[in-house]
Order: sequence, then C-alpha cells, then structure tokens
Amino acid sequence: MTRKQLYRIILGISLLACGTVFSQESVYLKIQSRAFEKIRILAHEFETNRPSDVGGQLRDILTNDLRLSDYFLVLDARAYGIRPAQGQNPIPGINAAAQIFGAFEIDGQNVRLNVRVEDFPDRNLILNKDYSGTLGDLRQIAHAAANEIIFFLVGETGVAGTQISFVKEGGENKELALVDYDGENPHQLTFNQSINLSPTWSPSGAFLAFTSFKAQNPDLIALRLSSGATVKLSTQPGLNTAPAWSPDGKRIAFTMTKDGNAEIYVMDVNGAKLQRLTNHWAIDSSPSWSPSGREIAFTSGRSGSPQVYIMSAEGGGTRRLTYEGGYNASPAWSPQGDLVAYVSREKGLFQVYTIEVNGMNVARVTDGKYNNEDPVWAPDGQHLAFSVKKDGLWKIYICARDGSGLRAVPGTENGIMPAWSPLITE
Amino acid sequence: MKKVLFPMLVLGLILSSGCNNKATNVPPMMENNPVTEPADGSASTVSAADALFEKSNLSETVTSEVETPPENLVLETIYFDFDKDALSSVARSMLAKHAQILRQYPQVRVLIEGHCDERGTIEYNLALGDRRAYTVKKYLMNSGIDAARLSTISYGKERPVVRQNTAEAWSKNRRGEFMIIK
Repeated sequence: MTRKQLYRIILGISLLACGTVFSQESVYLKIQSRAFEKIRILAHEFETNRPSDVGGQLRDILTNDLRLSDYFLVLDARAYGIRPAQGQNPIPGINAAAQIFGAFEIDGQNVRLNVRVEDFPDRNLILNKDYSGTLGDLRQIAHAAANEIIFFLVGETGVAGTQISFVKEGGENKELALVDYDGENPHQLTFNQSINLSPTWSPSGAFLAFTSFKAQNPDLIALRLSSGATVKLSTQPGLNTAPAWSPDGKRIAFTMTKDGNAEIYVMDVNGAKLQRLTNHWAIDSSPSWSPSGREIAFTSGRSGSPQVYIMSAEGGGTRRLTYEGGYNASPAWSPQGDLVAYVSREKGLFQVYTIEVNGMNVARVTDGKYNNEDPVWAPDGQHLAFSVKKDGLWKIYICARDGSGLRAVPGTENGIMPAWSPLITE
Repeated sequence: MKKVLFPMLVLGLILSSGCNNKATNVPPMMENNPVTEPADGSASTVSAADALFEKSNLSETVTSEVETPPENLVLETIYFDFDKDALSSVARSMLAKHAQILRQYPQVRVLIEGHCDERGTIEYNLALGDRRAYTVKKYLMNSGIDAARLSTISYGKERPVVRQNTAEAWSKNRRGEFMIIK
C-alpha cells in the first residue's frame, strides 16, 4: 500500500469521524472553526522499562509540536484514562484518525526513542521509526519525530526545532535575541547597548544580518551565531537598514540613503558588486526576495503614501502590488512564492494581510483588535510570525497562514521584528 | 544684522591687511560673499588680503574676533506634520534663528536627529526620520552654514520623547533635534 493511499485512508477516516461528532464536540468545533479540518490524533503515554520523566518530556515537546503545526487536534490518552495497551482495541467515543505510541530506553547519557503511528481503527502502520541521541538532545529528538509525523500524515514539511530571532526592547536599547519557535531557551545575541534592528537569516542558518546603531550610525552588521562574532557589511553615512539575505545566500538587499534618498541596493555579502536597484525621489525600503531570487518586493512612497511594489532583482520592471488601503508596508514573500504578506494600516493600527503576487485575493490575517508589525514566513510557508502589541506589551506571535491558531511565543516579552530561521538541516 | 555685519567684515579685512601675518578664522559668510572690491578701492589692499587668505589655515582655532558659544547653548527642537518631512512655517522661522546662532558661533557643529511618531512601520520610519534630518540640514546649508558643520542621523520611531499613544505624544515625537558638538 503506498503512502498516498494511506493518506487518503486517514483523511477519509477523519472526515467520517467528523460526520459522527456528538453535540458537545460540535460546540468545540464552532469555537475553533478550522478544527474540523484538523486531523484528530490520540497520543499515548510513552513507555519505558524504568520509571523516568524523560518520556513525559519527549511526549510534551512532540505533542506541542503537533499542536503548533495547526494540522492536528491532539488528544491526550492520559486525560481519557487510556493506557497504551488499550490502544490495541477500538476505543469507543474517541474519534481519532490516528494514534501515536512511544517507547524509549535510557542507557547512561544516551536515549533511544521509538515512535509508532497507526491509523485508527484499522491500525495500519504509518510510521515506525527510532531516534537516538544524548539526554541533552531530547528536544531535537522530539522535534525530529514530530516533523516526520507531520510529513507522513499531512505531506508538509514540519518546522519543529526552527528558531525565531527577534529584537528585544529594554529601556533605551534594543538587542537581538533568539528563541526556539516553541518558546524554549530565549536568550540574547547582541550585547552592544545600542539600538539593533531588522534581523535577517542567511539561508544556511549560520548568520544573521541586521542594523546596529553601535557606532552612532545605522550600520549593517553580520553576526555568526556559533561564535557571536560580528563583522561590518556596510557603514555608509546615513541608513544601512532593512537587510534581506538573498535565497542563494550570496547577496544582501538593503536600504541606503548615501545618494541623498532612501533607495534599495544589492551587494555581494563581502560588499562587492554594489548595485543600486531603485531610482526614485520617494522612500524605497524593506526589500523582500522572491524564493527564485529573481524579484524583490519592497515598500515605496512613490504614489504619495507607502505601498508595496515588486521589481526585478536587477532593478527595473517595477509594478505596484497593493491598491487597497492608504499605508501598506513591510512585504514578506512566501517561501512557495505564491503570496506576499504585509501590513496595512486601518483605523490607526496595522493588520497583517496576504496578497497573491498577481495582486488578487487580498486576505486579512489578523482580527483588527491589536497593532501588528513585521510579518515573516516560517520556512514551511504555512505559518507566519509577527509582533503584536496587546495590553501595552509587544510579543512575537505565530499563526497559520490564514490567521488561525494565533498564539504568543513564550519568552518574547518586549519582542518585535521577528525573523524565522531556515529549516534545521541536520 | 546682515546689513551691518558685512561692511564690518570688509572693514576688518582692510584693517588686518595692514597687520602682521596673523592667521584668522574665516567667518562662513565670507565664503558665500567674497570680497571683490574693498571699500576704499585700493588694489594693493585686495591682493594683500588675498595673500592673507591663501596663507591662512582655515581650520585654526578661535581668535578674539570669533565668539565662543555659551556652555548652555541649545537649539530648540522643531516639529513635523504626520507622515511629512516638509518644514512648516513655524519650523522654518525657528531654523532661521538656529542659522543665526550657528553663524554667530562658527566653530559649533551640530548633529541633527530625525524622529518619527509610532504610527508608521519601523523601517519606513527610519527612512522618514532620515529625510527629516536631511531636510533640516539642507535648510541650514541654504542659510549659509557649511555642510561640514552639520551631521545627520535618523532614529526613526525608536527614540520617542513621550511613550504614549495619544495624538499629543505623537506630535511631540515627530521632531528634529539638535545636539551641539563643540
């Protein structure tokens, strides 16, 4: 039986299951309108030969990853009082399309986890895989398993284990910080006691480029994440801001005012082949590369107010993308190339929108209650991160590309300007 | 003030041409209004004055002819309209006064900061703040202040003076500030 056939069985079962939902469940489905599309998956307690809380940790991280993916409704077998052995028999009242079993062994500092995923109730095997590492690798092990479950059940790439870089405000200063996408291990990256802004990842995930006022001018800096070492990329008088690393890793697009006006330039990472792309008296800033590297979306004031435009990565061929709303800015091109996310000012607040690159289907992502800025895409193209100011406090939030599943990333208080890392490439 | 200053400077030139070669600091106005003919019409005075200028080191420090600025010298902040970098008439009259002060104290240098209120995006506001600072610099240059004395920086919306989201706070944050560098 092929994987595709398995998918269809799973989806078929879950749709059937939805059809037999009882009245309590349908209240739940109304509140979370997209829940009916989610795959209901029952997660059993992980078994082991000796008592250990490692199993609980692995399971918590893994099931959280599945929830954060927005593809699953994860049912906790423990909450239903169901033991893993009972998963052998059909469980009345649980409308799950699949169930997850886990078994782990600890040997000194090493841990080995076996994850088995079966569809339900026929119990066809979907995934049966071993993951191993040290006790220090627990998170990576759980993330790897979650990503495989996502891939086998949904056919999409999971982003478990990716990281979000952001700017953390503290008093007069703003420093770069980093956090796992699930809120784990938030920590500071820069310590230069100045204003640091606009982080952008290199496609390898090894570097961040950003703007720093450390030398009393907004300069463009690169940071090597493994060592914390920095190097200057561009220190022209005036702005060196809004950097965007090209998809092939070789160039950086950014804004400078050295020629008298905010224009977009591209240069090799080492500064060679500096090329000016825009040539207009209005402000041009915030470049974002298409995944092909052939086009750049950007913000321009050339129509009289900020709007999103698209131009060739060689400069020229400029066309306007946004026509609805009086202030549209901060474009972010999706990894699939199909959509541009941006912010649009409405009633004094910014809302996140997406628009197709042909200008069609303007779709609002945020609900209008709060101020939102600087949307960026997860490398799966299915999720967005942006800053949200709620109750006077900025935090980084993530959601699915349609706006559902909006949740704050723990550890990002006073956080703005997120940048989502590439996929982990281990 | 302008009508009195120029003839006084010409007179000063004539007087100094008869003195020994003491280097003098050249008031900035002289660069835009070169002496073509001294008041007494003497050709030898002109060439002596020219020679004096050729010899003089323009970057030498203050002599008794140039005023030292007071310790508490402050150039008042000017304000901008929402989403604009153009100078209002109020701003222009304040800048005219700043230009006067800068002419009075020729060795004073200024850092012009451009700021925005919180309502635009961070990156666009960095550019708008830069435009505001540059607009101020251009106005002062057109008033005769040497560009070398004027530096600019934009903080976008990152350094508000009032951290509230009220119209009053916003109007106080959309500003051009002047940092004196002596």
